[in-house]
Amino acid sequence: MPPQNHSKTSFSKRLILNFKKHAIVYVFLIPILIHFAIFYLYPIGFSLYITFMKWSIIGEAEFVGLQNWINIFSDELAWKAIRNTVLFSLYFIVPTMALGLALALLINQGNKGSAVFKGVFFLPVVTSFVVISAIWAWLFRGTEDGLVNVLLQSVGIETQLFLSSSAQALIVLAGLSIFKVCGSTMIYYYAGLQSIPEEYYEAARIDGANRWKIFWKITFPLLLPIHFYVAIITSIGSFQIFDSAFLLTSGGPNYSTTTIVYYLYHQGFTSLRLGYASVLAYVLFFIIFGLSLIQKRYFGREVDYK
Amino acid sequence: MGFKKIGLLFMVLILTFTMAACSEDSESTGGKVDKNSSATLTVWVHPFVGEDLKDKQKEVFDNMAASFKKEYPNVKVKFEEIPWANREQKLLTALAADQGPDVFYLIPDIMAQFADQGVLTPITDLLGDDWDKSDFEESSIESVTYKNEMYGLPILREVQTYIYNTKILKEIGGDPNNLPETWEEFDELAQKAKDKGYFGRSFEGGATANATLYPLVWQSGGDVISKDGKVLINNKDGLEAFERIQKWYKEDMIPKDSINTIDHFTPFVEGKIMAVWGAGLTVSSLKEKGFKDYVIGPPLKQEKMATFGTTGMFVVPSNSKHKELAAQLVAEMTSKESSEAFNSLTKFIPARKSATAIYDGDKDMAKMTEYVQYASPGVIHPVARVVMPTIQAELQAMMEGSKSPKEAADAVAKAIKDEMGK
Repeated sequence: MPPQNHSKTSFSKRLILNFKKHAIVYVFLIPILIHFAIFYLYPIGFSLYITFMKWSIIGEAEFVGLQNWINIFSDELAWKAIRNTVLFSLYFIVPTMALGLALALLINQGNKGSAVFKGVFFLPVVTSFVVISAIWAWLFRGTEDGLVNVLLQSVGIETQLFLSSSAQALIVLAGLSIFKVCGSTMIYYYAGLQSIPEEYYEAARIDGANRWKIFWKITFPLLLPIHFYVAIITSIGSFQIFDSAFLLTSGGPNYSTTTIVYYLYHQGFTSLRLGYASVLAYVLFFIIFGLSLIQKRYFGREVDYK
Repeated sequence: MGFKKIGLLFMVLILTFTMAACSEDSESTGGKVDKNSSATLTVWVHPFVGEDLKDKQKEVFDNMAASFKKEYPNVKVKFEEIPWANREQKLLTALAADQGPDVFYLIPDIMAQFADQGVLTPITDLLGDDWDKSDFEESSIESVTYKNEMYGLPILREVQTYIYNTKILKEIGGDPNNLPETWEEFDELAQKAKDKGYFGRSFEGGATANATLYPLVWQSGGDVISKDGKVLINNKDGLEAFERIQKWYKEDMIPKDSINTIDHFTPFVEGKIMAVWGAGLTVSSLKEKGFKDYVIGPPLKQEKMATFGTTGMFVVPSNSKHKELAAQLVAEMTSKESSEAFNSLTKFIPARKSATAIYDGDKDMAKMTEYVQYASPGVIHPVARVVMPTIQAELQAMMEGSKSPKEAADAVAKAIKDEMGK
């Protein structure tokens, strides 16, 4: 066979032919491509552009080069916000996954009440964050008459400050997020559990494996793709935490719940430093991107059931 | 084309541009607006009253529009209600997208920041001479002025002070007719309240420093930033305010969640706190709840009697396409009649002297009106709003015990200076 000519002309010809062949597909893709370009590509590009600007959202932007990027290294509060976000993730990711898996195992047993439990555990997912935050604020009032404090006092534990304590506020916020999210994690794990072939369990039982061994040797490893997926989405969610810090603690006390997104919001819309806020957004992007790569490297292995 | 013709054409162009520029200039000064101008003016207002009075608030604004329409029959005024939450974000994004209002509501510390960023139009010249300046309280005009330019006209004033629970007062031997006027007198009473199991006062550490730290700084004779831009908050007087808050917290005069709560009204109504820090709206809320055992006390003094009380104003953004008309609308919205209607409904104090008579028959609001002379509208400086979270955080760190009052005050002063330098 003579060597193929990969000149520009032949390439463009092939492209045109290809385009003609699939023209109808491209036509249907146009709306989504336009949507993608306007609502994703343009904002991403524009926010990168304003990282090099001093801009208060109104009026002219002033070019400041890499100054906004350099400023972040000396901004103690930015580092504190990153530290708080990482801490929040630690408090949030593993408990959410563990609780989601535990609830999925519970409803997977197929008992009479499974359907009811499925609904009950999923309820917080579809409830407004504002409503749940209000309930949480009521539960964790840092006074003697806060409901959780009343319960603690009944078992001899002294009144806790909860949302008014630098040491506890972030943990309470993580608890709120776990409560809000673990219902959807449960559904992912439940779907994963349903897809594990029953004959594996039968074989294990015939071999005399107990429940604990079955869980660790069959269920847990075969859920690896679900672990990976859930780890990715909970990590991304945890790094973008904003609502609870905004609604319940306003980033306090003493900046203990100031997360990256909360700080970004404050820089952008209170201090009117859109350029610096955009740098923070890119820092957040790099963190999430790096984390996702690490997770893919270690947990993203293919799983073969057969 | 010869040089002469080119020169002539050039001259004509220059003249045309110059005249256009002049006409633009003349439009933005003097306050003379063609009464037959046609436009649609959008005004962003907020829910100044509760849900039950929403219709009445709409009526007040509709009347302002109707009144304006008498003067400018071809102008349509459209009122849109924006929630209080995140209003700055909503405003800025809308204005940046050229979708914002022609008139909106603002308070002095945000006004200074927005004016500094070029978000607002100075309306000093746009108003003309016949806006009845002498009828406005001088302090309220100062509150809307930044760098010798007026950026709005005030519609309301407020005064924050102590509202005492008379049942608790009687129980601890206090006299509702002879309430504390100094820090020492207050602390003495608060100690008695504490001995009986109550808290002395509310302290909503999650609120801005306007309602927590600043009144104490002013009462002790200090200031946050001087008029010539010097940071004073960590001097002897300022430090005294930090120390007072720490003392109250350490000695349980204020609830433990004072660090960052934003609601001590509920425990006050439940009868757990002797005095709540509030304004006219607080009194309205108490009345709504049928709570009758209260009495309004004076703002305290250490060196001088002082307190916080905002001044609400209507302003015109710099990218309004109808600045002159918008300025005239602001004048209409803050007229005597409009002020009376608005403040009667919302229980604020009118910024116009002639309108304060609305509270002649209301002993509570009359008292608030009496105290308004001691109220300052906050710190009028571009960084005032920006440093609020830092002040809150430093106060919180101090109350938690991780910083001394001196360290907290110094950190606040440093943060203000840093912001000024940016």
